[in-house]
Amino acid sequence: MHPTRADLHQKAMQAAISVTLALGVACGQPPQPFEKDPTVTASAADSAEPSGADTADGDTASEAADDTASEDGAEDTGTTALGTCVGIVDPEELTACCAALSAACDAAFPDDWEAAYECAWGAASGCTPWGPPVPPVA
Amino acid sequence: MNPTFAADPAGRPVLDLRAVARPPDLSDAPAPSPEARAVAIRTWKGRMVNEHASAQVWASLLPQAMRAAVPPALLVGLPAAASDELRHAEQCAGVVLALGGDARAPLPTLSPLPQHDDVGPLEGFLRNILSVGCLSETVAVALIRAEHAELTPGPLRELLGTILADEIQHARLGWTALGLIAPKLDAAAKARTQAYLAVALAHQIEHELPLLPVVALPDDPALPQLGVCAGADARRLFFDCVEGAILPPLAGLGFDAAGAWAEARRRAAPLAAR
Ligand SMILES: [Fe+2]
Ligand SMILES: [Fe+2]
Repeated sequence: MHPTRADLHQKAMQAAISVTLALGVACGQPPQPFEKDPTVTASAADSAEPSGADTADGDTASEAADDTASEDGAEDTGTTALGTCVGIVDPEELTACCAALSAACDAAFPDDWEAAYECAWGAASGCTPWGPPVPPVA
Repeated sequence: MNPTFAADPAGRPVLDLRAVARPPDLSDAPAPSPEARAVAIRTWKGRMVNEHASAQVWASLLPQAMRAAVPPALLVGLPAAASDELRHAEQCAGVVLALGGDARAPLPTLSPLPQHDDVGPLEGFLRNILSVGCLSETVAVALIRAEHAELTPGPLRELLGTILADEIQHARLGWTALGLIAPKLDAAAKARTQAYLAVALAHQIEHELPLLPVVALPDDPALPQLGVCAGADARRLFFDCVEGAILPPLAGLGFDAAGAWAEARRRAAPLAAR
């Protein structure tokens, strides 16, 4: 049987809470129960909608493609850039732009991974494939 | 040319795991549409790069921890975690291959691990392990646990289960280190760590949250069975994990965790809207 969203959420919260119990063990204290019931938070946020969803219709990449269609954005790959997310400062907008650009690039270069990657993740794209979890400076 | 030491035409290093990746047998998984398959490949390739980057972060923590005379029982967990992350990258590459993708990707340039030279080595290490172990890895445990629970039994669930087991150890390492070091802080160091906590939490919002997709995924029932979950659920889980799992034990240590979280959300606005 397929688990419900609440089931998934509860399992995830239990797993996260369980790892923090290592803290009490390290401090030589018995693990303390937490007041917050994860099942409560699971249902409380059911109506949440990601605020960036309205940028998700693929327009970003196609508009960007129109804007730069006459430019030669390629480096050494001989490819033509389909667009760029350079200059977008809002992180959610940037994420949506890069996802749309990546999809457009994959579609444009199905047999040429280097071209697809240069298109989606090259310096001209303004995108990086993933965010490295390096801690921040103070 | 040795294909495992690759660079792209622009000269950037390329992670190439084609030779070492072992694709799981996904023949029993539902066949995705071409669009959904492309999303799944992108997701797993992103994970491949991210896991590789995590290995670099864990490895960088070792010299800092050694300078701080961290007990060996704790030290050994750091290279072990780096080694785990390298294996995770290979496992993710295997899924990329199984989906028909190419297990190569240019490596992002990582900022160097902050040394926090304004404070002593133990306090500096505490900041980093707090961010990496207690925050990032704990959030990872929640997200991967949800994905794991959504998968039907099979090779992909098994694969994600082994990754989850390791991430649980990494998070436990973080909380264990925090439990050992935090009681050693004097009042001034505790106040500085309190201030850093807000920075680290804001960093989570700024750098973890945008990775959770806000774009609409193709409406394809195969996607959850390929380990790709809905972004809206993941984002909600991120906030609930911070508030329900991470803040309470920090408060138990005497930090003003709620205050740090409020400060982090203020700093990271407008992203912090849930
Ligand atoms: Fe990992
Ligand atoms: Fe990890």
